[in-house]
Amino acid sequence: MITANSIPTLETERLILRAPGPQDHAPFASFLASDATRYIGGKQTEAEAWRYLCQVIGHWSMRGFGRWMVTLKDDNTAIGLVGLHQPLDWPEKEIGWYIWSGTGKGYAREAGRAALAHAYEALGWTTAISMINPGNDASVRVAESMGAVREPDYDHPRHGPLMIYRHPNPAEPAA
Amino acid sequence: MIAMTDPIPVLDTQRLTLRAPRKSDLPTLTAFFETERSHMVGGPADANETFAKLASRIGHWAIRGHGVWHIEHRKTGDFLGWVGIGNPPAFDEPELGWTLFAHAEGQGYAYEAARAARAYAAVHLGLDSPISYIHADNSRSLALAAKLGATYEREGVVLNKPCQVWRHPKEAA
Repeated sequence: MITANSIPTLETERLILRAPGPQDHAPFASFLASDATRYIGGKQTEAEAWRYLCQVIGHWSMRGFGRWMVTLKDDNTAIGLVGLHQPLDWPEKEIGWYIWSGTGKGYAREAGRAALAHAYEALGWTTAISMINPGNDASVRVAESMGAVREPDYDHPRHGPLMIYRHPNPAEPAA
Repeated sequence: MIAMTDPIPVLDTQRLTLRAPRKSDLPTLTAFFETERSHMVGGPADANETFAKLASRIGHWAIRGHGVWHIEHRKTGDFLGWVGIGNPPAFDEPELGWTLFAHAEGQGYAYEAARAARAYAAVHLGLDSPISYIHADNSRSLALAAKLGATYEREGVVLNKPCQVWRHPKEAA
């Protein structure tokens, strides 16, 4: 079983994806208190952000996969949360990305591709979706740049209608 | 792989094992949080919320270096409840808490588990003389706090509900 002390670290050209820790509370809480949350369920208090951070870590133990804090290579300050995600009421396994510092530089795509490669190569996934709130055009661009293709919307019982983007299965030739 | 925190310790008492919360506890925990019995510990809550609570308990250990153990019967493996140190930002200070499921009450399990958790916290976590938040109507928990040697300190608020704050004696010499 994967526990919180065995979360792998991934490295990309510009980024590190590492286990979340207590040092990430301040930047994460700041992001969750900002208007940037308008497409991900709205603002959260500092206490809610703290609990969310605990959940992100515990998810690794519950599911054997999870989300990483993303940092630049020369600075350990978290700039985003990217990775593999499946709360109880998710229709299937998801890859998701939040980038709150340095947006517009392709970090979400770069981190997302690393997370997806981990899912396919290390975990044996054959598919993954990304669920995106209608109107979140920046996230749609990331999904499309990763080769994901839109499918019919999913009406989530708590979050309402969400766009589904399905990522390509590396074992199948591109259509 | 990186080592981000020590694994959650396992404590054995005479009849009980205190161990890490884990995914297989979810059905029992969900059944508990669906009942009104959970109203002083963050419930009632549905299955999705309970999944998040369980994940959060595990992550609490990674963030704080302490947290709650799930209590298991050593002989039967039965999941009986939980005990440990909760310390979210909304708490005044680290709190020793305990909850038993209804079928596990009345056999001294909470006392046995709380003693072990409190001693461990004092010796290994540097958390001596913690508080316990107890609702004024929770006569069982009030009696247990007294039996543990804790004393009433003041009125307080936890999870937006009024409660009493009890203070445990120091364990470390």
